[in-house]
Amino acid sequence: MYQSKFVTLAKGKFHGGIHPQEFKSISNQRPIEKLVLSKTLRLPLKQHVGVQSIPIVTVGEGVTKGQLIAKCGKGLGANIHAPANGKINKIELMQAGHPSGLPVPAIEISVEDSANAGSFTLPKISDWRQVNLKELISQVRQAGIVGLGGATFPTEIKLKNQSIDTLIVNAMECEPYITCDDRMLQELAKEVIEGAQISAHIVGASDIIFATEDNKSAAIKALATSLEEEKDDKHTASMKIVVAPTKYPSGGEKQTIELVTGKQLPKGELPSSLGLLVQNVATLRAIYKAVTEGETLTERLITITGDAISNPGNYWLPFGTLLSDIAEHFEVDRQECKKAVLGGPMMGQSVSDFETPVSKSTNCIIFNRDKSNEKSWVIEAKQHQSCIRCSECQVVCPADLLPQQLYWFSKSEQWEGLEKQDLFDCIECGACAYVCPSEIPLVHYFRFGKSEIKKIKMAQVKSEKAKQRFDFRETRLARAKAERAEKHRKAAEARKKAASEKSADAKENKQAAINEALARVKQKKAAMSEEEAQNNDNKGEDV
Amino acid sequence: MLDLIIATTTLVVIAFLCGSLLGYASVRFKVEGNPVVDQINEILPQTQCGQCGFPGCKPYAEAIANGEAINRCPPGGEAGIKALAELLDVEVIELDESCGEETLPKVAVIREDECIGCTKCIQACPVDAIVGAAKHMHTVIEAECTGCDLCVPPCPVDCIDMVEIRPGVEEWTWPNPANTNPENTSPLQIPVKHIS
Repeated sequence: MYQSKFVTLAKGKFHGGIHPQEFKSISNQRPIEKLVLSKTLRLPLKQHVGVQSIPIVTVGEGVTKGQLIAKCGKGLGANIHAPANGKINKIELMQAGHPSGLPVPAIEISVEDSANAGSFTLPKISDWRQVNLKELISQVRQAGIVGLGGATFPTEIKLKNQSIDTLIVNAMECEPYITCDDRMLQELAKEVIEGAQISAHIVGASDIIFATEDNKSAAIKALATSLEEEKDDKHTASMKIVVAPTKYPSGGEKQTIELVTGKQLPKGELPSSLGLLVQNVATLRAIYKAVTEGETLTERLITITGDAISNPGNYWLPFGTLLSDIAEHFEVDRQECKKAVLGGPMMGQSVSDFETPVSKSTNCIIFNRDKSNEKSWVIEAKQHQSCIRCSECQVVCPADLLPQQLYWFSKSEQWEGLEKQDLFDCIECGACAYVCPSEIPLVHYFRFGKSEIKKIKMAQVKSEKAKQRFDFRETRLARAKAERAEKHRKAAEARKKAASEKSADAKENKQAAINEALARVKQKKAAMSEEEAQNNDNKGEDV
Repeated sequence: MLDLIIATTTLVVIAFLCGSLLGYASVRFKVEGNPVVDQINEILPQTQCGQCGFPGCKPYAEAIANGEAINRCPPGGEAGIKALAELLDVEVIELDESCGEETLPKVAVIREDECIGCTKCIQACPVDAIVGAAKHMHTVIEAECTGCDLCVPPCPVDCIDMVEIRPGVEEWTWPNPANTNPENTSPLQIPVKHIS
């Protein structure tokens, strides 16, 4: 290993892990090249963790390279940009390599070569130390950067955290075949270092640790040489390289943290709870490009490898490039190679539909010749041997779970037991399936369990909402009824009162009338009796 | 004789103490409503469709607590009956066909240009998922619709369709490898050991 004051050995280790054959030398010998292959680019609207992006272009519209074509949806998400000059062909449901085989909403661009069209860039920030942190984060957000290690979590969200001491640059790249981070460090170490400094500056980290495995000696050498040459005193964060022994899956975020710091990330906690931020090499280089050159994320470095292609290596490919075009360029004999693997052989997915595009998560494409002894796992899943409880899977599980138990619970659809066995801590690394002597497709069982539990939880949320709305409606109706009854009662009361008042008045009037009449009669009588008396008097006088 | 009196008195005192403790507890920890009804209501799918013959899920939950059959809820389906049987410790029985059949989840869609704005569907909706006003077009809030069918019969111009929700990418779940039909598998496989 390269001797340097920057290079130290990892102090921690994680539980389990395996040593699959590497196959990395197939692709890491050749310098990086740039390729533009497809005449049509197909861009799924969801290439990241979170919600689908919203298209802001219309069919037939011309777009330039780097232009925003779909903006980040409400909530977690990322912008998507045009990877080339051209015209929007269609915006509809298209096949884009989703595991279900269902079409997903996507934008299709037909590429039109026009040399003078130029490209769209964000405003460049040359001296990033002087600008407001918010401005830097907004630049990353606008550039549509997501975690390029394969998890595609929006980077901007990670950078918003301000309680970080150490930035860990994940260059473990533990999957067999993949060499894009290795090759990027060999050729573009300076840009990665600058990106790491920008990232550390944003989150306020004082240390940067480049974490890698001991099988990447060329990358370690290139990185250490670049660090030695860095005479730049401006760099505020101190940097070092930590080298771990090669073991799969040391590139998992939790495993990397354990290797570098010797501490285990507590269940349900984010790395920030330990003051850590973990970012992939390619993500940091994308941050560098976005900040200093205003470049939006429209392409990525992809390892194209396997024994069925002519020039295996690492290539810059625009997002949306179709596998069929790649297969054609690399002279893949489609009779010999009927399916490709997107991502690594351990965690990737194999696709037989070559109309699938590469997306932000595609770090590797493997074209291998079909082998006669190869098994199609899902199809033969029924014929796999029974679990013999050998517990080999438990020995290799990097999350320290009991895969054999998870398997039983998942197979018999006992969701409660499955959750109690911490299914959701499974990182789906495939180490258990790799060692299983019965060849049980364990990861399939775990994905099945996870997706069913998620579906049940979603249904519960929906029914809870419906219940609340039903209850609310009931109370509203009851209230309306009560209000109506109250109104009727009041109206009736008012009527009654009015009526009774009227009758009371009438009575009084009557009484008054009677009294008046009586008075009148009395008066009359009095007058009459007076008259009579007078008459009598007169009579008397007369007599 | 004295022993007898002491023993009896002691027992009477203990009985009195325990009795008053129980009496106090029953007042202090009184449970409002029937907890079984709430548990049953949790299991019911809350579509409020009334196919069971009761005006909503809660009334049916109350009826079940009072001995009504547990197989009258088509939207809950077989899984719902199983859960209810487990909760109430009774036999699992088949869905009562007179109540309807278990169908895929649906959502109501108003053909908006045909709507005359009579508000009848708004009044029928058990979860207030239809918006609109008299003599103005109505529309269904899809996210809130439970697919209960109750708005369909009152519509005087028959402009409401019940559309099956096609499982999209978001609703899709991985198949159980143990039950996967070889002819009907997704194109995807996780490679793991394929590659060598």
